[in-house]
Amino acid sequence: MSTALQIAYLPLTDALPLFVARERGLFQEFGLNVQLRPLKSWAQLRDALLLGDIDAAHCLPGIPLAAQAGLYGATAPLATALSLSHYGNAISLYRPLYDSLVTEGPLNAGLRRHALQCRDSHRPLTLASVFPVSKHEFELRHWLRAMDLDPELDLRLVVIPPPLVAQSLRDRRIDGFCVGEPWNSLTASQGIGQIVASSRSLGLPGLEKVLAVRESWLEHPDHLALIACLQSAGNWLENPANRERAMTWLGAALDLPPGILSPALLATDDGGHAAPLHIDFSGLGRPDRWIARWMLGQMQNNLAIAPLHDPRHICRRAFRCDIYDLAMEIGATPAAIRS
Amino acid sequence: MPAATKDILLIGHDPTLVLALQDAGFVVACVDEDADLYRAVGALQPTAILLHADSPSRDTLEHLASLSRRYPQPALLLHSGQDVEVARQALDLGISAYVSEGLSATAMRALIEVSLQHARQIQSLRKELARSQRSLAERKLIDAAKCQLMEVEGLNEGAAYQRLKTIAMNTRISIGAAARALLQGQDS
Repeated sequence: MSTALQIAYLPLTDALPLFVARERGLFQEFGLNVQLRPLKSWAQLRDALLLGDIDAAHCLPGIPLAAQAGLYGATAPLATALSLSHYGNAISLYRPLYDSLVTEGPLNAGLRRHALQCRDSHRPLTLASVFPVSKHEFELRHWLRAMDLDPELDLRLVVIPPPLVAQSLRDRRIDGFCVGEPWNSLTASQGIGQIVASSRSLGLPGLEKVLAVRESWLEHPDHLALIACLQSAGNWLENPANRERAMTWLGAALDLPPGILSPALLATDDGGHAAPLHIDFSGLGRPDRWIARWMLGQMQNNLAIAPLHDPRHICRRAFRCDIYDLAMEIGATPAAIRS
Repeated sequence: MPAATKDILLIGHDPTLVLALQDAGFVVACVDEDADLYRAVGALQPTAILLHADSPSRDTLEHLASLSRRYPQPALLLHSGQDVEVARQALDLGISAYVSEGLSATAMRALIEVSLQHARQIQSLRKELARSQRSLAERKLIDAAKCQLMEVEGLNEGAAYQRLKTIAMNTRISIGAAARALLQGQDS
């Protein structure tokens, strides 16, 4: 067998399809020899992908878009031909702050008052997202604008990597954050965080993670097989009983008690919660260029980047529906790809 | 004035790298891995930031870089399309650097050279350590096998070692492997 494909991920609940493929032997079934590699930051993952140290990655959709838009230099062509997951982010506030805000009335009014009060102090309201081009950043800004706060003027937005958010919240370096699971459930269980909104409750496009690769690897048979394989892993997760099994695999891989993972994986009764954390893995694998356009627009409106030359072209190159279709056509019979 | 300074912020503690950078003419400040980088970078205004490539703080630095061109930008990205090899080596050795426009190209090259060299030294020390640990473990194995031969077959130490050497030569394996085989044979 050839050398193992290197697939990187960040330790988050939505990396689940990778573990499903490994534990259920799907990689072998699709003729793939895969090594999964946990990394610690999105910047590290992006560089490893660009430099060819890894073949594919569980990745923020904003990274291939930013790469095609030229944010990472001229020679950085990354793309995606598979959407891995939808939803699962949430906004949490420091629990004691939340408690003090809601004693006097609705949260939004209280938070707005608080932000304006300390706006000109040495310590304005400070909220964190996880990466400059992440959807978390746009969700946070959307949520703030809905309560008539200006993210640029009324408070401070920072970036803290997920593994450090809990500590930063405890140390009061930040007052809240928008991050993916399991970090909202984890800080809530520790009594330091209160979940106040989620990507489902905010009503923005749900695309959360994609499988990102270098443009030059798009048509490689291993990539086509990988798409079919991970799509099949995602579909298997449609069944709640399967999710329960998969939760123990993920708990072992991320070294977390399964209870922390269940709000994102098992909460089927979304109607009962104000901010559902439930993640979708099935049925939405084909890259959606409408979402790419929305995301690129958000990047332009919210981040200080130069006007983009041709947004449609960027989206077409970053989100490769044609490759997805090709993979589905021949990926249905795994052996066919190899012959 | 700021354009002339060569202040380096090092994230994480590494006294030998600090010395190496100082020898190369840089002024170095260190902060902890989990320090408040917004405050540290704002206060020190370094012309370059060095950190381990798998430090989670990199995402925070990406944000600082995106805020303004005043802040250090990632240096090992393929910004120019050149130096892919340098970037790859840095990645292999676990270094990443963020560099502001104030740092001259020569100074940046020196900075990256010094850190690469340092990382290579560390890597070769690690290899040396692994080799020593292996040979120590092998030594213990050989001693245990000798003791066993002395006890079971009543040989003296010299003869026991000679026996191991003969087994190794006849089966064309190392003495360590012969010792392991002998001990495992006893177990089964």
